[in-house]
Amino acid sequence: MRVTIPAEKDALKAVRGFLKQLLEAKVVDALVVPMETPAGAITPALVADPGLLDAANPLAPVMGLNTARVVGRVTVREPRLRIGAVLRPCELRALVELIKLKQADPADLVTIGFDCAGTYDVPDYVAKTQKRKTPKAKAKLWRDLYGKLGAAPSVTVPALRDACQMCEKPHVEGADVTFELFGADMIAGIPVTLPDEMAETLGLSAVEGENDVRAAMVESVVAERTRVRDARFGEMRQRLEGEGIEGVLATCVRCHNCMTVCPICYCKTCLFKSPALDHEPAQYVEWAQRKGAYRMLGDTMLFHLTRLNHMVLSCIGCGMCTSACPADLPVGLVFRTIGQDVRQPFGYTPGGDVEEPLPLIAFREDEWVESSVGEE
Amino acid sequence: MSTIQAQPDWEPRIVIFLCDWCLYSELDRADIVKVQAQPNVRIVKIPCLGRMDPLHVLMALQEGIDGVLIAGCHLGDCHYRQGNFMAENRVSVLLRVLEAAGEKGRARLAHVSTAERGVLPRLVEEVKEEVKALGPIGLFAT
Repeated sequence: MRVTIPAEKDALKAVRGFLKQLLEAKVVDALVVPMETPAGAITPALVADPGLLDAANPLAPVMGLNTARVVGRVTVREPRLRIGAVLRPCELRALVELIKLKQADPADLVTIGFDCAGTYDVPDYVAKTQKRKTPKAKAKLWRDLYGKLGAAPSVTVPALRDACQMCEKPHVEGADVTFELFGADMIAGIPVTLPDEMAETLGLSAVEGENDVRAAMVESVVAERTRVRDARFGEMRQRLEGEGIEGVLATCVRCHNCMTVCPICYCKTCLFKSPALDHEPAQYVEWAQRKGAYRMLGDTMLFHLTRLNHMVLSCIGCGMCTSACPADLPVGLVFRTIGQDVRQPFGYTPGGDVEEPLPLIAFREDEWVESSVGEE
Repeated sequence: MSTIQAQPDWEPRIVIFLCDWCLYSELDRADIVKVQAQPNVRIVKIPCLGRMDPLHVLMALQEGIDGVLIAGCHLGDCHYRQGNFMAENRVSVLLRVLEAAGEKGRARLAHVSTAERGVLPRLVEEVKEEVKALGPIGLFAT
């Protein structure tokens, strides 16, 4: 059912009011939501006291980590309470993959999705908010982004995170509650779709008709962004063909940040943080003698290629890896470009249908045909 | 992609991951011996293609192996029913990742049955020829 939440010129207040109602009406026991700390940082928190939601800020255009990981942490095992999770579209997609990877559980979980006009890296956001002290000035940050996207989806905002500039799915799909911010005027009211039962509990009444404005905006944004994305993929493909992944990621400093922030890389102990790849001193010398020289430590490409093998099918393109890279490497773009090719034979869309099995563990007899190897 | 200048007497080093069920234990001993006798070829026995982790291949390549052959049962013949289908999935990802890394043709998946005499040594020759054309592996070496 679609309802309109009255905004009275303050969309953020309206959003906070809705979230408060969810806790007060016991629709959920706790909410995972981005909160503004007194120092001005935006960080996800698990909020149980509705009174504290005056600091909630799901609209702040900043992304420091992919919150899907947090949702996994609070839902993965029983006993659990009813959790509501406020998520961006890329976080929703990551959550779908984590559910398939058994690192999160959708039981007793209410996902609340927000159409996203793009996010800044944390340092950029901090710089911008330092210039804008009042809540009204800060709100202008996201208001401008939604406005620009609606007016001219073909124009990218270069200050946004790299992943956001080429995000072809900035609209919410498949959430339990959807804040339809695309095309919404945000001054009078915000259109929200939610389950009928929940609307009844919250005392909200249905609005007739379809949200055509949003549908039109989603269509044009998706088309424009897909064009941008494909152009970026094309550039990266050329680079990969020319210099290989080794060339593109040549200045990698092996900090493993990309793995640490990746929502899909869930292993508690990564092989590359274990001593498994520490060799005997004599072994290194032997390799050096055999090859003439041996890169120390030599597992940089092994790390990236192994990570590609492990997570590229599930890569949902949140771009946290690019944001976290101290060497400013386009890790996310490399992975997304290669991911598109790798996924092609499986016809798999990460972050889509939660019922669709992961391609690596799906067993379909008709999936593969032997090449003519081994025939006389 | 970096390449290392091949010495004139260079012979590629090959590692074969061999499924225990269809090949290693059952295949004509003459075929196995023919492969084992080659100084630059090593056989790594695995219990099933399903045990093959892409990391095995990547680590072999990183440590200076020039080519990898992964050989196991024909599709539908797996002792564990779906091991070789799983391997197809994984190798499909691996090969595309290697291609992106500029190392196309360094790894290959093949299906051979115990009844196919002479096929394994021939496959090894094919892999050797392919890898010879590519030259020594340069990946990870710079």
